[in-house]
Formats: sequence, structure tokens, C-alpha cells
Amino acid sequence: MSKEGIKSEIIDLLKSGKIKSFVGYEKGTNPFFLRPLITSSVEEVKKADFSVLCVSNLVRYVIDDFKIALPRGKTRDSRPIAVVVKGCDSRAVNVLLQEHIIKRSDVFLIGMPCNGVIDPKAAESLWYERNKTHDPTKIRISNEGMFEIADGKEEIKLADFDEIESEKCKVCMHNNPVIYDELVWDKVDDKKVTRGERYKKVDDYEKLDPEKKWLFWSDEFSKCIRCYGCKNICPLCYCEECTLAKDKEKAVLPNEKIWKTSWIDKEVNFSNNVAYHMNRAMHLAGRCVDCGECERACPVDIPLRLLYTKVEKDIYERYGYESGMDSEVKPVLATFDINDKEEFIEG
Amino acid sequence: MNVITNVEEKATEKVWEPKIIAFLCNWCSYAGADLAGVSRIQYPPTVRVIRVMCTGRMNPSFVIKAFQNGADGVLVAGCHPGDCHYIQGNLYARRRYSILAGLIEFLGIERERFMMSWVSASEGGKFAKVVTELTDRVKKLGPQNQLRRP
Repeated sequence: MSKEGIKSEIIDLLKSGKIKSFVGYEKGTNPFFLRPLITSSVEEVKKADFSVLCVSNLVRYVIDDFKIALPRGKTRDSRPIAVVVKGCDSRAVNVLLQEHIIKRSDVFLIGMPCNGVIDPKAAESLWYERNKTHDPTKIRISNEGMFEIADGKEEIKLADFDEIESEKCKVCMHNNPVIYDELVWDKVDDKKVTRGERYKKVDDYEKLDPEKKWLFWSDEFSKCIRCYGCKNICPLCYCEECTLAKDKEKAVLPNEKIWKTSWIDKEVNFSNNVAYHMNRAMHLAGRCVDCGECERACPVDIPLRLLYTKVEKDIYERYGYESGMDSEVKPVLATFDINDKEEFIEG
Repeated sequence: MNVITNVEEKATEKVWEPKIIAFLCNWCSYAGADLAGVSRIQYPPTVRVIRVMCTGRMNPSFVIKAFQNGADGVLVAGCHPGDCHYIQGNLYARRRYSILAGLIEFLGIERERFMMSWVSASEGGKFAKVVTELTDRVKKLGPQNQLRRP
């Protein structure tokens, strides 16, 4: 398949009514980022684009579709949504299938094998440093690097791909989608990242003294403004009512003067921030697919991926389980083995 | 007047004693703690027991909430694997708390403050031992101020 081939196939599917809408990427005003394209019109699908700028995880929009409240008497359109998925995104779909949140017939997956996407923030800051024309329309980014189009057709290389590549993609172990209906282009070779390389950063942090660790994390967590960006962008945070962002409810009975407990208060202070992030890490244990969206959405740059990779490492080393690889197996924390390691249990 | 102020002064001079929240499972550990009391086994009065029906019922946020509300140590105790009243509740809990223990350590929160143990209904002595050990550890560390709410 090619880019044009896949587009004409989507158009055919839309015309015949086999899919209800298409979620993909299109070129927007930001040259470092392809914005999400959500449409059911044939004309708009022609604008779709596939490249190294396909940063966002579109599986979130599939979940959002389920959350729309419908008028009384109307039923949800049960036709599938066509959605573009990279390797990491396809694993998120697998987790949702595993947890029976969506059915396989709800999505038509257009797999996009990728050799890594760029980090828009890094690319933008490098461009500011190195560009000469000061014209953001004259940028071309491909998997060879970032180029500036000078006079005529001459191109000046501004950065290598390694410099602008997203951190999560440097340690990605699944470059090809694990579940798909169609592929945009042929499968690519896996990068052959080893587990040691993947967990190197976590290992380095684990070696620090407890005081240093606490100093580092308390610095990071005290920055948090609790915007819930990480929760709102996460493809796996699908709960209708999030326990981490719940107001205290007044008791229903009028003579009861107590407030119903909320396990994590919404009030922004350091203690609640740490509790929020610990709870979120626990909720993502054995589920996080490391799509890196939380870290990209974070306005204060908390290294959330480091926290979730630590949990992922623990799960892998203790239970040999990797999230999102198979939609048929049970989630790791929803099952057990009588011979699980219990060296942490004392007495 | 003097007498009252003297009493108040004495109350404030009291040495610091740790507060330990113990989540005990209804069928084994709670009965174990009961046995410790009935058998008149001495254990520190620092422990505040919360009875839960099973360790599998415990959400990891209970532990975090306890620390937030000023607990100096948290103990989670349940039936030995294979003895659970609900067949498998403690086995789910074991997986859950293995991850939480790793997370606590990774964030640099004093790991010694959190303890998980298996205490059966016949192990009154073991319950006393576990509580004594946790109290000693927490006493060495002093009051918990990392997660405490202002």
C-alpha cells in the first residue's frame, strides 16, 4: 500500500458507509506537528498526511467517541471508526480490547510502521537556534533530519534525525503495529533495542540514595499544577468519573454533616500532588504502553515517562509481562500465580 | 490554676510515639491480633487497627492516604497464600503491593515505613513481633513528614 492507496481505500469505505469516520493527521499551522484530523467527509480525507510528524496518539479520540452523551431515543452509530495507529498506539488498542472497553469491530485500524517520530519541542528550539531565513513555512522534516529550504530548491541541513527524535522512540521496542487491518506502507525493521538499553535510565535513578531520589521527585512534583493534562490525553484513562479528579461530595441525607471521602483531594499542594502521581502510576501498572503523550502534554515538564517506565520494568522483571501485546490474555494485575515472588513480604 | 498548667505542660512534654496504621484482614490477621490480646502478649500501643474484609479489598491509595493523614508507618497484613477466605484475594494483593513497594522505594519515600506481612489467626506471637519490629524501625526514622498534609 501507499499513502495515496490507503487514502482512496478510506474514501471507498466512507462512500460505501462501512466506516463512520476517519481519525488521522493533517498539516496544520505548526510546522513541527501534524494536527489530528477527525472527519467523515470525503474531501477532508484527501488532506490526510503520514510522516515523522505524526506525534499524537489518536486512540484517545476513539474513547472520547464513546463518552458523548446521546439524546434520548438515539442509539450510538455502531459502525467502526478508521484510526491511524503507530506501534505504540496499536498496543493501546490492544489494552482497550483486553479490558473490554471497545470491541474489535468498533475500530478499523490503519497501521503505520514507524522508525520514530520527532519531539516537537526539541525540533522547535533547535530551529530557533539554527535557522537563517526566519520563515517557519520553509521547513522540511523527514527521517533524514530537519532541513531548511533556502533560495530556489537548495536545502540546508539544520539537524540530524537523532537530535530531534523523541526520547520514547529511541528506546522503542515495537516499531510495527501489533494489530492492524491495513498498513500505510511496508513494515520496517525493528530497532533491536535491548531491555538493558530500554531500562538504563531507570536503573541509573534506582542507584541513587533515597535522599537524592526524594529531592529529585519532590522538585518535580512540586511543579505540578494539577491541570490533569496527563490524564486527559491518556488513551487508557477511560473512566467516566476519575477518582483522581473527583470533588468532595456532600452526603445525601440532610442530617449527615460529614463529607463523603474522596481518596485523592483536588486541592493543589505538595502532599496531594505526590499522592496523585503515585496513584496514577499504580493505575497504569501493567497497562502503560509508553506512547509518551502524558509527558508531551505536561506544561511543566515532569518526567512522567521515567515513573511509568519504572513500573513497567517491575512488571516485566517480576511477571514477564508486557502490556498491549496480546488482546486475549488477562491483564497482569487482574490475575496471579501462586508462586509469585514475595521477597518484599516480611515476618 | 497552677495544677492545670502543670498537667498541660506534662502532656506537651510527652515523648513522641509513632502512629502506625494496620490494615488487617478480617479472617486471619484480625483474629491473630485478637489472639495476641487474649494470650496477653505484650506489643507496642502504637498500632491503630483498621479491619478490612480481605487484603484484596485494599486499594493502594489507602496506604497513600494513611501517609497523607499523618501515619508514621503502615502495616498491611493478611492470610498466608492459599489460606484466603476468598480463595485468591491475598494473591491479587501480593501482586499489587509488590508494585507499590517498588514505587515507594523509587520515589525515595522511606521504604521502612511500609510493611506487608502474612499473619494467620493462630499467630498471635507473630503479630506482636511484626508490630514491635515496625515500631522500632519507625522510631529510628522519626516522624513522617514526606507525604503529610499541611
